[in-house]
Amino acid sequence: MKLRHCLLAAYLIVCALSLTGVLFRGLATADGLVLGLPRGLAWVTGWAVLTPIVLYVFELADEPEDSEESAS
Amino acid sequence: MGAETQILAVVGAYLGLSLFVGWRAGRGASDSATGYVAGDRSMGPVLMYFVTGATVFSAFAFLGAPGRAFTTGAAAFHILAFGVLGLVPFYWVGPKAARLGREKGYITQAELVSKELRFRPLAPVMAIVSLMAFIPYLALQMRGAGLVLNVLTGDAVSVEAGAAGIYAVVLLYVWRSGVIGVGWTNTLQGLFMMVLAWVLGLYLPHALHGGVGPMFASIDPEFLRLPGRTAAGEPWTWAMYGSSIAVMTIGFSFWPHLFQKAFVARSEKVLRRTVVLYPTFQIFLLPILLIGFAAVGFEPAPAQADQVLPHLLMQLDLPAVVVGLFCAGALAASMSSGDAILHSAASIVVRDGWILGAGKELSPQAERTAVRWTLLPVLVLSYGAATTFHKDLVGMLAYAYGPVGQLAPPVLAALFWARTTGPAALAGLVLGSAVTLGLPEILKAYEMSPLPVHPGLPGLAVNVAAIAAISALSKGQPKGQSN
Repeated sequence: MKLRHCLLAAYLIVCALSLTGVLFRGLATADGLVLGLPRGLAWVTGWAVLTPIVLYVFELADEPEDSEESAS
Repeated sequence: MGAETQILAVVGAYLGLSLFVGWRAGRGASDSATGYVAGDRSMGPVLMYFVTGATVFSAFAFLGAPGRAFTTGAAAFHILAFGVLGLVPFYWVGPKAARLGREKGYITQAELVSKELRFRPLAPVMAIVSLMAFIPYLALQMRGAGLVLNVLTGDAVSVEAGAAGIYAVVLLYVWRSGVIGVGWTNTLQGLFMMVLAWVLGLYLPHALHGGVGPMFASIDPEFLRLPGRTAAGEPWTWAMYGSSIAVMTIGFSFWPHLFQKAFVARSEKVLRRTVVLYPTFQIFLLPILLIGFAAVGFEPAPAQADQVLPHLLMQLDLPAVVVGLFCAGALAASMSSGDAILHSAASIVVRDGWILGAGKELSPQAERTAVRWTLLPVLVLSYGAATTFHKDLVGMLAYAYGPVGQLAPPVLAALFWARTTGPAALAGLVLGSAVTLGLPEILKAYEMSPLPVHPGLPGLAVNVAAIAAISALSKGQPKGQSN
């Protein structure tokens, strides 16, 4: 398995465990607002913003060897 | 002109535009089932982005999500959470399915699985499981559309009449143009919804509380702390919160109408790019949740949680044309999911039920005609469910996700595990669905404590265990497909 695949897998696991409340529960439930949003909502929104960026970077790195346009 | 008339005029103009776009879209498609169901496998990145995003952004988003935020507080954050990773499996599953679809002519999920595993009984069973999810989901869209029109016209249009009128328009453009009509109308509807979601999500907190920050500062912090509450006001558990997100994330890519888009895309690169961009669509759910929180403490409170948005709009004395635009936005959300589900359900009945299940031969042209005629009974059945089944919108969605999640293990096994056998996949699907749907009812009947986790989770465990065990023990020929 290539390094970029390992890094993506690690990101996805941490993201999934964070979103389901297994990891970093204290951060997601702390008092106060972040950018005007409650911590839990800011936490979920942050993952929603970060995930396409991570996927995009992975796709760019993966593209050269897997860029076939399989048009019929 | 009265306010109701102005609202109806705006809604009428929106419906006319949707019909025009959807009707014209079908001009270039071939007259075969592949043209009607898979769009001749030619969809580009823009259509794919909207057809996947707007398909999921449904009546549930504009009505159910604000209602859930209003009643359950932080528990509603799970609506945004499950979509963050929901489409990620499709990054690998989609291109593989697309390749097989091109090589072997597949146009439905069940067709792919049953033919790859060389086990025909799988197709009709998967079709039945799909329909068990589709009918309540389509009913949800119809009821949502009827509710919006009913509330915003001050009862001038009944829920039943509103749902019937709006879905008559959907039927017309889906009938004429198939999946290409769905794609182009979803693009129009998706753009419309995004703009309205942000306008409403920022305007309502500002008008009622002076801004988003002051709005949240005025709400009890316990109401905003994860994992929130149940609809009955009891504290929700982390186990239930986390397992609900897990089950909905796993099931997401395997909704049959979403999965079918693998057969529609122009290339594998387009599919992967769609997955990469998909979480950006989830960000549009943020303003939707803000709408629900804006209603907390508002007097008079809405009579039903699902009516939060129309209720607030009616209380703010906005010009009728503006209310009509918001009404059209909510209808766009309903229609953008309803059209895709309707089209997919009809194609599944014909391809998986009639052709694969019953073994009937149809020419490509006859199959397209059969899919068109099947739209009618699917629509009538869903309309019946919409007018008789009165669960709240989020409850209907949660029910629909139960069986859909069970499609994931057989599809993944068929694509990526060469030892999988057809009977094992069938057993996994049936047992998993039975546990998901039956276990909560059994516990209720015997007055035992409800499950501490989403019932889909034990269902998935049984499903995976059955596929692995039966495939491993089977002496029959595995599918033998190289990966």
